[in-house]
Amino acid sequence: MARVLVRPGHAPSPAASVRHALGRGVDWVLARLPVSPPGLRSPLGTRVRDADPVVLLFQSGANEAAVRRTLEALPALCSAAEVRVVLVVDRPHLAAARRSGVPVELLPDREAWERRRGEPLWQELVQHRLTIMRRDYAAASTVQIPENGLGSVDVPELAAMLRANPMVRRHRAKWRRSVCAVMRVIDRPVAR
Amino acid sequence: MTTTPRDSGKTVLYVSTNGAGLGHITRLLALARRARAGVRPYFVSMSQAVPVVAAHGVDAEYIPSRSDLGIGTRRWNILFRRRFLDLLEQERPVAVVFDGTYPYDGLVAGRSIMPDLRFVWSRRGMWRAGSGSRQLSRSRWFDLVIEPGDFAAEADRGLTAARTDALRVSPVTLLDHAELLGREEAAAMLGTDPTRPTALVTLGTTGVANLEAGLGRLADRLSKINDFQIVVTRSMIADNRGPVPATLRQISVYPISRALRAIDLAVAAAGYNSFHELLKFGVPSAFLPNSNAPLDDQVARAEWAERTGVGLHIEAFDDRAVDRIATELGDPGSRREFAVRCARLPKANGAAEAQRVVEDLVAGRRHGTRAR
Repeated sequence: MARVLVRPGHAPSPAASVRHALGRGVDWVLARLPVSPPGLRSPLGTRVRDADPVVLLFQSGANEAAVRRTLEALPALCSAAEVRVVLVVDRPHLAAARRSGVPVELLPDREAWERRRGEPLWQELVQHRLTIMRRDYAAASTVQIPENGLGSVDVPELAAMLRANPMVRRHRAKWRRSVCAVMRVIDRPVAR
Repeated sequence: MTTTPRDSGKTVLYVSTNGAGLGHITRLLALARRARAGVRPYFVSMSQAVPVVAAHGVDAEYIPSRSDLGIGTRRWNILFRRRFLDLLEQERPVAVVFDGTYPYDGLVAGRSIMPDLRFVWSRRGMWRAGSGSRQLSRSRWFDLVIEPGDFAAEADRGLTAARTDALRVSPVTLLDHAELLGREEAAAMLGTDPTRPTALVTLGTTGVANLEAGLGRLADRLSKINDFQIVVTRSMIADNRGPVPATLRQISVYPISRALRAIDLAVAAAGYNSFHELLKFGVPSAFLPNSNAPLDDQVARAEWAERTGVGLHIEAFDDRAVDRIATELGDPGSRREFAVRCARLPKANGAAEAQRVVEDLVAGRRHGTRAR
């Protein structure tokens, strides 16, 4: 990496080197902290806190109307369960999520994936990618919702299940709130 | 997870930032669709416009941008690095072509797992004067820097203008002349009447002050001249749909350039793609620079167009601008003169040239840089 970053004959100043090393140290810690990133967007009209646990909501095979139904139900779910949500879809209905203020992840299309690889490995891909996302967001839980969306789900019941979920509860620990507050100072979220 | 794509071609990974519009992803798509047999393009984009790539038959993935997520730079860089390395393991590309104004930290992390991976930066010029020195210093990360040409290059007052580290190609557009639809087909694509003159308003994703009022005035003035119909584009990545008079037709079509033969005049932002598509395909245009584009000197492009007579430069969508548009572009004779001047612009599409250069790099054939 040093070979790439430092041009011969242009050695960085000692101060710059120290700053760079400190920055790398901070990144090393941040990459390993099991705390969700502060500033993660939340559905419009929802009051969430940085320290609220993150839940991945996976909705597979949904058309745009079904995704919209989910988006409409999210403010109530997030408020009742006191969680932040990242919506994971496998159809490119990104615009609706953006307008609702909901962070969205897009998995590759199943048919295109399997055609490209010639074998039915899409489920493996889904598990692999969800694992990465859980780590990236330090998510407390992953919930797969019906293709029809949250419109067909008892949202208060789901909220109650999430509140009672042991991992979600563990993610409410005080130390996480403190770490989140420090992270917000070190790594400022996008201004709203 | 490591899976190997079934076909035996060499994969080239095209990485685009989100950007204010679809410029970055469109320029990369222009290259990728000209890939020769044996080269498999695969897109990774931070833009929510990534579905347009799939619509062109190219596989694509989306990594949420920092602004999409709202999180801090450090956490986002960590996320990007993880995802990018995972994609490198998945696709095992021979080259990465990046189009954006700020090469991410995580990009070069790929070298640690794939030392032979070639890195290319598609680095558009026309940066705002004095801006971007930090990102420009990252040019040294790349095996090759390609600068998509700009018709307005002589007006470039940014930091890249004096650089000699880039291979400059002709201006890059997604489509060539032969790919444009005839007027009737194009009108069908837009939902317009091919027998009536048509104005296109395409002002990008950033809000324009008094847009609704401006559109109303424009519609009023043009309808009195020649029964113009007006279509207004709605960007697929815009956060809000913006107020548009109900009498006007709103469309969300990609690429709009395919339908330009059905357009008789345009009012457009002066972003790279709109600017070059409209001028290259001879559409008399008024350019309203997007002054909020962080690094893109759209003002310089628009001023150049005015100075050389290939377009108008308007500074706001106000009464004065509408008068100019109606007077200078509303008249068929005047429009023909603009079209004649546009026809004198270079016609070569740098997309094919840029893609060849990338493929040559992968094959071990080097190109020197070329000054303007």
